[in-house]
Amino acid sequence: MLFIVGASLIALVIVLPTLSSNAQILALLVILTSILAIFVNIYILYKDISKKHIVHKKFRLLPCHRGISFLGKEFILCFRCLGFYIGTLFWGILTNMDYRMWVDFLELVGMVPYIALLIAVILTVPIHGAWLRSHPSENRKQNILRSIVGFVFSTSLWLICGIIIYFAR
Amino acid sequence: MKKSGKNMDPTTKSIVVGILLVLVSAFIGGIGIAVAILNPFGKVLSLTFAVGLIGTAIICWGWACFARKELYE
Repeated sequence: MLFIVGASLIALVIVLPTLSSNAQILALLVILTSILAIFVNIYILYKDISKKHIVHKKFRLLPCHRGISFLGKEFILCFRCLGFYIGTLFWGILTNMDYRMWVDFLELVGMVPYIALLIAVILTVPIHGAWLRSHPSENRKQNILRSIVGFVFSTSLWLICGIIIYFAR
Repeated sequence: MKKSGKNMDPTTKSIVVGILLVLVSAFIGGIGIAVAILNPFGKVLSLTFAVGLIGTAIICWGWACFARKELYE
């Protein structure tokens, strides 16, 4: 990911002057996001190297601790991740049918309620995580709640995408 | 008392890093999807950006759970 984002960033800086003014603004946002992504990737890589010394485990793309196994032993998804990936796929299919649905929704509810909804959706995972720390258990109801929280959080990606499309179109 | 990054205990640090990774995941993923849909820089470059950013978002999401206190002890 580090290589892909880095190479794309260099290519974008080269083609930046040739873009239209609207695309240039979006390009600046993407450049800043890519720099953030590069820093996050380096941090994760650094922590992954130090993790190997601590827990002596190989790097896994989806480092869930427990949950249902998927496509063999290496891919173990917890219930929250399951909800997140199913949600992402679900919204992806819906958005593929008509990507203007997010812009229409934004115009329908207005900018302030939309951003309030976005913040609420993003905060579901930290709030649920904090609640789980005080109520740790592994029963079925909590696993369903984990999946629902993951599903709700996956909406945040598409809501952010809707704002970008609204301003960039 | 104000707590800086070095003064935080491992549990607090793991919580802060976890929350930050979740927020960053949503932000980077959202922009990655928008780039994939809008194709503002041509198909190839936009798609490469989208793959890189969405992949980073997925890695951030996975690591938000893994940011445990053992990593900071």
